[in-house]
Amino acid sequence: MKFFSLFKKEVREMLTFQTILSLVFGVLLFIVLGSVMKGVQEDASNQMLEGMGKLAISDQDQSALSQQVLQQMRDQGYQIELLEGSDDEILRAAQEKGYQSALVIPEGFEQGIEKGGEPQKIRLLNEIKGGGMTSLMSGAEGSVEAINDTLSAILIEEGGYEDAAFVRNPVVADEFTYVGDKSVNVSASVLSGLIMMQGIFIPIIVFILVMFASQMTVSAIANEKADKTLETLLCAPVSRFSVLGAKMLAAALVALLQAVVFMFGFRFYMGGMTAGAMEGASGIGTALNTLGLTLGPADYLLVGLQMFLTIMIALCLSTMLGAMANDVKSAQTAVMPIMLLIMVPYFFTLFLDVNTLSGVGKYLLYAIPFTHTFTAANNVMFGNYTVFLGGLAYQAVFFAVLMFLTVKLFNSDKLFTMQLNFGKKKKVAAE
Amino acid sequence: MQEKALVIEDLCKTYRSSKNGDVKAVDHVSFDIDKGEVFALIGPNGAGKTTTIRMVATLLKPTSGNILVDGIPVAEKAEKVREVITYLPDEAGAYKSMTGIGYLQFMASLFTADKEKAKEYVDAACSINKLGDRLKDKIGSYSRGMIRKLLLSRAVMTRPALAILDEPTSGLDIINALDIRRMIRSLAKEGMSFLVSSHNMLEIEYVSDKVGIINKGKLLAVGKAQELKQRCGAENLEEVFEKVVSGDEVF
Repeated sequence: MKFFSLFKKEVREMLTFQTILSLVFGVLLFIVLGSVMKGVQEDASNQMLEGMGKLAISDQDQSALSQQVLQQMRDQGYQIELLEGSDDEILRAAQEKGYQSALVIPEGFEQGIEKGGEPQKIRLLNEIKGGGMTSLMSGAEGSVEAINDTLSAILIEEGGYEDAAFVRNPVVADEFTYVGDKSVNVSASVLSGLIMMQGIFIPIIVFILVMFASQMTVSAIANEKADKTLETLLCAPVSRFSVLGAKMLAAALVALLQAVVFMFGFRFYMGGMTAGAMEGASGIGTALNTLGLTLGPADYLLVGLQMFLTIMIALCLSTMLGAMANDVKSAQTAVMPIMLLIMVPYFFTLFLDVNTLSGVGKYLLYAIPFTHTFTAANNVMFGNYTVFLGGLAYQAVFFAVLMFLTVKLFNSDKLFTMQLNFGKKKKVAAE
Repeated sequence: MQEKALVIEDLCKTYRSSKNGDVKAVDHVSFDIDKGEVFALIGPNGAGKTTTIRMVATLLKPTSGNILVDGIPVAEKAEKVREVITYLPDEAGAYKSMTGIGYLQFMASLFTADKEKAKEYVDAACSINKLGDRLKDKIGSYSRGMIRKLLLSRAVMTRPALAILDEPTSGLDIINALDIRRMIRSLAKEGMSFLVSSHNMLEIEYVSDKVGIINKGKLLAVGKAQELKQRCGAENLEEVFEKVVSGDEVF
């Protein structure tokens, strides 16, 4: 009975309104994420399924064999769009007609097959448009397999080939990946994997930095309030702006140091990764450089600047929350709104390319200032400078407004009279 | 005419509350403190003591009324006022990661950019708090009494025109409390003025020259402890306090 009383008291203390609220929000977040991801996956699957029966092909060989292959594929139910021009023109024309990729049967294809021995190359043209997981999905390899199977069947029917391996696989994909007007002779799926790794790392850094800086500031201010050292400081012959400015600048300096250290670490990490890939003889490091999918010093500076602004926004928010918190314990739970503002765009940008979203969803996500930080590296890499600079300007304005509000709070009586209990404002009884 | 360290005229502070409407925390309060005088503001919890003190300390803005510290108006020249006051909040702490001496040096640097002057302040504080070698230790290792002594020495080291002390001996043992009361009396003798808030009537009788009794935001009585006792026919200040606060005595 005594144990039960103790147990009941412990549960009551732990299961506070805040805990329940964060639990409910966590569940809601995963439900929303789940439904969004379901929709995105369905769209991607549908796109792939649709793409499976449709091919954009340029037959530059114009041989009897290539014609036969295409005819047989049409007979099998494939919808084939024939295109002409340079590889670049072919890919653009294919995309205009709704195809994600295009195939080019090169000149001398028939001769090569008749000669036997080595599988003949078919150029597979693909484009990577963004950094989200879904932007990097492609079903292009399936179309090469379809041609391979059709040709293999023809060769088996014709007979006369002794090399079984060649007959089974007479065709191999020679993949070209485009980013904007640049292209490299590397598989899109391999490049996508690397971009994914880059894309995941920066959000993790931002997430850790913002959380750390927010917790540090909220606790520091709440501690100063609880110990009444803030009152002592504000009665000293220094302006309140100096007190606030010194606090923010110190926290920003520590955060900036962290950002620089993390960015340095990230460069090292990426350098090691691309170098490793190059050692693997696939030339992926060079490919990423050619496509402009690596960050140069100027790009690191831009991404670093956005990270710094993000931290300053988080610091302003946490300064206000810390100043209004009842005590250190409630100050730590008061960081929850900042955590949520980080977690939502963090998860979304991990799986989605926000730029490809349409309508309200895109603007809602971009209204959260932290989203711009999570998309910064990809926007810079893919040359979406308008979106990047727009985000930077938005963050700068957001920061200016928050800074104004923080200064106002520090200059008002509210610093000592207002207490925050998750939206429930309460005036302190005067003594 | 005696010079005034503090003049409060018709001071009001109203808090806006969506739940309880307007709450008058301080309601037309007027009193003054002469130079070298210790004024004790006493009252029950929620009477308006801390709000009054915080307004004098420039932390809160008055809704109406005037406050002059050493002749400087708080409303217009708050930063100037902060140069001549010091404030010791009730149950205040200090930066635990700093050493005692480091804390005093830090606080002195906020009052003067002159290193010599700052050193003078720190030396004065060291001789007042008598913490000796313990000043080299981190404040985190200090007892409550040591912290209070450190903070009190910090509050008086700059020789302010007015030192505001909220519950200066709260939570201290008898010996430490006595030390602090003696410290206040000796500094007052040297000409320093004090605005003190306390619940301890014995302390008030010992330390103060003048007493103000506040309840529900109104200053109900002001005078020397002896005068108040005579007027109420009370044996001690506790009885005066009880009679005034319960409304049995009106001045």
